[in-house]
Amino acid sequence: MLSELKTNSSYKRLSSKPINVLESLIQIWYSLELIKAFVRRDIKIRYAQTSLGVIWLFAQPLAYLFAIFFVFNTSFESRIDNLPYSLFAATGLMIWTYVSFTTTQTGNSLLGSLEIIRKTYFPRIIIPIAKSILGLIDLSVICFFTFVLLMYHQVSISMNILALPLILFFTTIVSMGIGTLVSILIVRFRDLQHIIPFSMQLGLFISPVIYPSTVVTNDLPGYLQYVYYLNPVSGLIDAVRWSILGLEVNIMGVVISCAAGLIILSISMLLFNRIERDLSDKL
Amino acid sequence: MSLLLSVKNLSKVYKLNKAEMNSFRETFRSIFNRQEQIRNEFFALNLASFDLSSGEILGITGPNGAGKSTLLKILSEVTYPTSGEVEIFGRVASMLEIGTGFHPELTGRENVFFNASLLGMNRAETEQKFDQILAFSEIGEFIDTPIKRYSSGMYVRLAFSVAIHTHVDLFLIDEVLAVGDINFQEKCKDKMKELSAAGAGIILVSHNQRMLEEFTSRLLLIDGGEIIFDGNTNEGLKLYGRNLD
Repeated sequence: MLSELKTNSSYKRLSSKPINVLESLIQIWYSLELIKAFVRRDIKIRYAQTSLGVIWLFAQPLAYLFAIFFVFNTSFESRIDNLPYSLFAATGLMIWTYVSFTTTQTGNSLLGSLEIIRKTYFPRIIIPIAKSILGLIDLSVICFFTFVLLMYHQVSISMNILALPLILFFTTIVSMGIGTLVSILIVRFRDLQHIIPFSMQLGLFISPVIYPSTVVTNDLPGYLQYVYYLNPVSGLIDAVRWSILGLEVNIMGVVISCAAGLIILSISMLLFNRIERDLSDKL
Repeated sequence: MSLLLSVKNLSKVYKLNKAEMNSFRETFRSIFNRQEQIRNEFFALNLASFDLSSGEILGITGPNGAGKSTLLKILSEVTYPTSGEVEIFGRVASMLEIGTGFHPELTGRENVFFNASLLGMNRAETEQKFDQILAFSEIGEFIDTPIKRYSSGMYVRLAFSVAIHTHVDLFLIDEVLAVGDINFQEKCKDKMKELSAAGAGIILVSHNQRMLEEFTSRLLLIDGGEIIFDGNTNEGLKLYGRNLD
């Protein structure tokens, strides 16, 4: 019964019965204010006490891109599919930076919010959601620099660009799915905390961030190609390169990546819903 | 006087694992060692029913480990009951701890806004109440200083001010009033009496007999997870005193 939900802030019924997925979605909708508050707080904590403050936001992606720009554009003059390498790398980094940031941040978020979880109630899923939104700031900065590079190299964009918001939206929900799954696992197995940084380094190499996916898939026989796309990041990066740079894309690969991403998201949401109520007792 | 809270046959069972399986090693070990998986069940709470009406101030006391905090945790939704049901007709502010979510690097002002949203207020409501919160806390110009530079008294005053200024119908307070200086304690008591006169319900968990005596009219005595007394505060405290001897 909807009327029994926490949606109506003036009536609550608490019992041993867990809430279902639909009910938790409704709760999220009613918690938008709180999500905003978490994001605002995270932004402030991130830049509190640093003398440069928000400038750091631009410093990191700029440093990345400058390094790539100078090393590859000037020294090697390397081009991929007739495109400057810096553009190629920037589009890969756009997705990868977001995925790795969100996975790391979200992954540690439940354990890191231990104190709040033990002392007050709110839909716990807000914590991972807020972290995914936080990552959007960095994503926009890299996006901005990518378009600056596009203009610098006078590369024209096509209608494919219209799909970019959809691809980025997909990136956010898939990253949230991965991050939430990691955060649940970390609550259960604390050991995993130490594996995340390593996995992120590994992920950089098994995803087509600094190389084109064709380097891997061209040498793979038949259906084995698609195994590469079981990593959702592979398909997402290919899709972004198709959207911004107009590169050819392995449609089946992207579909597999999207499906894999959605499956991870569903599993993590279902698991989260199951463990949410136990969190304060288990943490 | 309308019904604010209705608790029916509430129980909470904790499973005492011999080994908390927080790491791979412990999980593997427990797979091969079945005996460790046998769990002891522990009734933290096994309550009869009770109600609370608006405007009522209810004190809860009892020995350590009696289940007072577990009850408050269930009412604040931090944990869920194993059986039974709670109905709450109104908004709740739970102060299991004051200043939940306070971050040392953030300023008093920033922390007020975050803490208030955890207590269910939106930004507009907090902005509207901000001057009152600031005045009550007596923090003054330090409101824009990171709270890691606050004295513990300032911290407590600010945290309590936020909580007490939320628009809620039911306050759940766990022994948090014991902090702060006498003047501020008095001020908090006055403010809470004012809120209760305006119709808010207050549940106060405390070990402080004097506080209970002067502040509450009704007392719930809890021992071993069960309600052993529900009625007039003075009678309850006498009974509690006799049991202790």
